[in-house]
Amino acid sequence: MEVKSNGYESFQLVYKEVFPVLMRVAYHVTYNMDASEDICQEAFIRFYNRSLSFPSIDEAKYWLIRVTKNLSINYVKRKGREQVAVEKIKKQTKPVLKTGEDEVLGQETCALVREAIHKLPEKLRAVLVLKEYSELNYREIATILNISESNVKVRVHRARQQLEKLLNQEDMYVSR
Amino acid sequence: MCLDDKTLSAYIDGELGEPWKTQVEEHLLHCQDCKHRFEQHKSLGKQIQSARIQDYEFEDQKERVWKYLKSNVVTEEPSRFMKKRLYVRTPMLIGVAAAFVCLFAINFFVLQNINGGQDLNDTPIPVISAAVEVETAAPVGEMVPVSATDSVAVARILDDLSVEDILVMLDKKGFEVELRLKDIEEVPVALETPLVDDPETPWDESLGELPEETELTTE
Repeated sequence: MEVKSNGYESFQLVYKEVFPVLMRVAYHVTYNMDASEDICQEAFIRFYNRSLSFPSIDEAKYWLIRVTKNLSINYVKRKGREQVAVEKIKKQTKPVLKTGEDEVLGQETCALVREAIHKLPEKLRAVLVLKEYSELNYREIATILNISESNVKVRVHRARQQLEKLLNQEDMYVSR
Repeated sequence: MCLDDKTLSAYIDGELGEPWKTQVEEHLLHCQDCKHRFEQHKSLGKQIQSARIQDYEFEDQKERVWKYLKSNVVTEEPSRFMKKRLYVRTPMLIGVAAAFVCLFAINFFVLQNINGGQDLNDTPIPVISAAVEVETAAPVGEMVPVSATDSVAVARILDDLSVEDILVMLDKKGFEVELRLKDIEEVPVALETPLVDDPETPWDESLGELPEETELTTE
């Protein structure tokens, strides 16, 4: 099904289908809800104004994810105050739907993982976010980032390796 | 040989093709170290997923951004018909353009012919047309008997014309006219007016050579 970015119906369809994944990408790169909202909005404005035509909704999704990822990386670079963002992450807590000790532990783990992801180098962070939070396979990630599949495989592996180290350090710090 | 982390990572992502996938599965059944490392990878995966932002957390943002886009960026199509785009291949487009040019050219020439005939002869068109029809039916240069009943058009319009008008018109067209009265011998007639020789007029070409000079004489 051909998707026209400036057609009302196709735009609405793409928005419903793709907004959640864009929001996840933007959020896990910036870890800022307001910035993520602005980035997603900007991505869809560009999508509409460019009057593009895609052979399928997946191709439109790849385009939007690429734009969102780049806008998010730019935001992080521009901010340049990662420490401030990290502090915000520590203070942030997920909405509580359940009560109990498990939920509290879950919130702590969540904050630690997000902080660790935020510490990853930009290239590794982007590929890890796409792999873990966007339901994309190596081929799709390679298409979005315009790199080879084997490069995706290596980056995903390195991102996990570094994340594991960062989390282990946090564990050691907490246990002391 | 034990499995490296890169292979385990790809295996967990379901990105390992055969035969490596089967080899990894068989190896994990026997090697406790690799099994332990595999479990660590799975645990890390669970931790990463625990940090995942959930869809319900950005429902408000989704609504807000859509409202903004709808009121400031996206314009709703008024009707499908008006917005519908027609995609025509270039050869077809050229063909249509050529057809328009041909129609225009044909129109132009036809109108020019009609107007030219009127200007030149200053006689009603149907009469000339009828006369030409009668004339062209016979070989050029032969005498052709013409009567008012030869053509319906001529019969209808001849009532409005005097005999002189008809004779002048026929003379202009290069006919040699013979007038004959009942029970009286033939009287050859030649008109006083000089013949008009205009090669530019289309129908002149069909009449063949015109006489150089004609005189009205009565024997």
